[in-house]
Amino acid sequence: MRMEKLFSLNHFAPGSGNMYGLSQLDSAHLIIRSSDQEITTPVKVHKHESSKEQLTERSGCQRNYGLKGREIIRMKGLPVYLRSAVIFFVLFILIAVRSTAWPQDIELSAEVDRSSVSLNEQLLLYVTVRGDINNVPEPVLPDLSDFSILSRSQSQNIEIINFQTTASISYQYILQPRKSGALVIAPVTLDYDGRTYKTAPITVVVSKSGGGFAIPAPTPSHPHIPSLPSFPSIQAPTNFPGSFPNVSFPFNDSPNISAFATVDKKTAYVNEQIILTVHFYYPAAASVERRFLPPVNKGFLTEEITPSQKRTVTHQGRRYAVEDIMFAMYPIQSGTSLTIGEVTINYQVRDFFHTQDTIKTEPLSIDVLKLPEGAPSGFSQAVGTFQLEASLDKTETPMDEPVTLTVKVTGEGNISTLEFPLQNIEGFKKFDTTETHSLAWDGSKVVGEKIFKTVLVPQKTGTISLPELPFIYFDTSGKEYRTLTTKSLSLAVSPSSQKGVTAGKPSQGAAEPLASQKSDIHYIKTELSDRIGEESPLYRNTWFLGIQIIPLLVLIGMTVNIKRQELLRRDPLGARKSKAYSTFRKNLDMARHELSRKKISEFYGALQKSLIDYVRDHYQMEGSGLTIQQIREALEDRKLPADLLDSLEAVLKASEQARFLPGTMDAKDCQEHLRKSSELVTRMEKKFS
Amino acid sequence: MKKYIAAGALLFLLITGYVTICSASGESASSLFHNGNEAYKSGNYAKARECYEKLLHDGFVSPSLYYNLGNTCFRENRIGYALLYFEKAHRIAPRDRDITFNLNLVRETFARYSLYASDEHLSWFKNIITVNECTVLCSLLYFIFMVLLISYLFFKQERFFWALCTTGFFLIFFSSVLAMAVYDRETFHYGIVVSPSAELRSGPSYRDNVTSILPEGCKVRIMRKEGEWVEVSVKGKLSKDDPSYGKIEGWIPEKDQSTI
Repeated sequence: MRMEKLFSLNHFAPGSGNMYGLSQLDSAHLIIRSSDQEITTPVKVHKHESSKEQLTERSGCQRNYGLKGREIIRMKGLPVYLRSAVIFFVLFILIAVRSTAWPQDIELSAEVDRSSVSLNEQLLLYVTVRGDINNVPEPVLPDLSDFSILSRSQSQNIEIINFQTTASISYQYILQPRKSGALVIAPVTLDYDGRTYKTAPITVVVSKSGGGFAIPAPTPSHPHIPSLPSFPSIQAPTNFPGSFPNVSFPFNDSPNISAFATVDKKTAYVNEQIILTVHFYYPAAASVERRFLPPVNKGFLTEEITPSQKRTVTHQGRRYAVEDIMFAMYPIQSGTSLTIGEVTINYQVRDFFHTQDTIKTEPLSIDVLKLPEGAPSGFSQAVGTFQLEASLDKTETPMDEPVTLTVKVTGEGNISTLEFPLQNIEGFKKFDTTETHSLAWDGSKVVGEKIFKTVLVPQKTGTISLPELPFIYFDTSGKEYRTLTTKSLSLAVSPSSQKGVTAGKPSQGAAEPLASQKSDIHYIKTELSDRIGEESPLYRNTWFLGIQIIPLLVLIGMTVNIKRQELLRRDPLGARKSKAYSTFRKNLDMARHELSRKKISEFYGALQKSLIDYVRDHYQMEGSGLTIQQIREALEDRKLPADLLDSLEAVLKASEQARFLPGTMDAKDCQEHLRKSSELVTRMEKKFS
Repeated sequence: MKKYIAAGALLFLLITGYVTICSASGESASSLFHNGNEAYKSGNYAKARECYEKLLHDGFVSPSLYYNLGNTCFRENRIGYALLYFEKAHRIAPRDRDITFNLNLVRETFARYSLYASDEHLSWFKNIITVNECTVLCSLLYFIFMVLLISYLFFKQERFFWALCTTGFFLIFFSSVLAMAVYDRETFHYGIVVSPSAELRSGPSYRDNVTSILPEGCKVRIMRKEGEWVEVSVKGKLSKDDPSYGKIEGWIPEKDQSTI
């Protein structure tokens, strides 16, 4: 996630005459912008009350700012705003470098907001990664089959205290236990940079429904975790008909901009809807841009209502614009004085100075009551006011053909987390249920509908009646449990002309996904076929590709050979010259072979032949059986050096002598003549070719 | 002479050892496969799957193995995995009647509303021949072509010329098909939704909105990957009542699908 860091300085007065504007800095905010959100975090910077003389003398300060005292003094010649800008720039660079250049180890932790919970309550699981969180993937949750994950949100936090940067990213999950007993949340794991981080397992004691513990107000162990909206925003109508609570005008000392928050009720039951409204006041004539962070709290599900509503009010003859930002909140635990945290608004006035600042509302306290004892069996935490209806998409069907049962719950309450547990229905094969929901703002509360679709396959013929299906909820207006039932539905099932449905379940999300099958799948194979390397394709196999070159090489070789043969036919002397040296080496090898057999006479015969053949081929001389004299004369005509000719003549004569007068040469002479012959040919090859 | 005898003895030992290891490995694989089949026959599908998966884990790749694993998953109601293994079997043995039958049966039953087979390029080709078979065919045609070319260059006979032209035509045709198949294989990747349902989101995070729900067994084309998420596209409609019929794109958790 690419992020940019900006400083928003409050009460920074560069024009106050103090050349060290930092001494006036008492608070700052670090704004972290990502592609979809902006988080403003207070930056704690130590306030230095030192005068300019003290600042130049106090080495601690000098180290912090990365400037030597004399360098600061040298800056006296600069204008005040330039000095301030330089110091600010250095400060910014230092913080940026500290936060990016030296990656820290990361630390993974997981905790729950409470270790005991009743079956009908929810708990919060916090998974936090601290350290160098750039590019750190999301930790992997363990198998939470004992819980339902109702919601997930995440937040990032960066603190800078004494130029020490601490970054963390926190993931917040709302869990609903599915059964009672001591449930274990296995370690959360994170694979990063070749290392695996694990948290300790967490045990949560879940008591049976109705036996919940009175939960004290949560301690602010996560003061920086904003609860982000975890559901799609609720669309409010643009012409806002709702009324707002009468509140006294918030401006006492007539500041320009202010904000405060109200709730529509101070006492609520667990899962009951609470509307939080934040009123943001600013002069109607001003153009103000704002961003806000949802309330910081731990014990509530939060849904944002968009868009916000705007109106104007007049106070002391001055017109103000009021923007009302609303949230639907659902407490997920009981307790007295549960805190709905502050809502942070970052705003910027589009005036000449582009003033920007942050304003926060006061936290609010809510008393959250436990639901009364004696909830009927099947109660699944629905709280509010609801209506229920059910329908089948067909009234008659052949056996084994699927039908879809649609159950729709509408009303006001915790629609998002509603459940409709459907038991097995006699005469039907039941498949998994899919859920969809939609929410809307009716002017004073959030209303919506949740639709449960279940595919049923009739297993017998005749008229099958679906029993009345109950839906139990806690009615907040009557403060009692109520049971709604669907009307009885019947389905005429005719005999199927096809074979029975084989094993398998339909696709979820499909309205009518299961079709009748004419036959079952074919039986398994009893013989293991050969191993096939299809997984590694042949076109990537080096050996296979290498083999493909062979015909090409053959073609090239044969073509070259044909061309060469043609060349030889056209210019036999030239062809002989090109092969003269290789022929000489071959003849010399034969001579060596004779020498190894201690046949001196044959050795000299081969040596003489190799030299004469070389001279004849190399200098393109006609005829065969050349004499030593003929060779010398021919080579003299070609201006070869006399010493070379003398040496050549000496070797040839010695060869003749050895051939016709056996015993005159020994092995040592042979080696010497062999060496000389090689040298002579090498000289002729290199210099006189 | 002694050197030759020693080299011969060493070669003999190596060959004997290799054959022994191969036969032992083959015997072990065959035995495991047989155990899986017995478990399947007795209705112990979990045990059967365990045997087959162990073979897979050991690196054994075979259409029979994928086929039987697909059948086992089908009996266990794990439709996504059943389709996955039938697809894998079909990819390496496209002309096997049993594999084709079971694959089509499961496709028609459980993935009828997503454009399934025709979603892939060159599906007609993939139903006839595998990429490796086509590669071998092209290689053979190439060798024949080269032999004919050399013969024609040397002997200059007209019969070689016509044989060369005919072989060249087939070589160009099959090489073009192979090139397209290789491009398809290297460029497009397909997966099967194996979780009970996969929420298709507008972005690679749980914060992004759910735009649709992909049913188990839905075949998707994998566009790209980011972290633990993959961007997928599906052609077709997801339900019978769905009036739209087009391309659906979005992000699902990588664990919700398995690549074919």
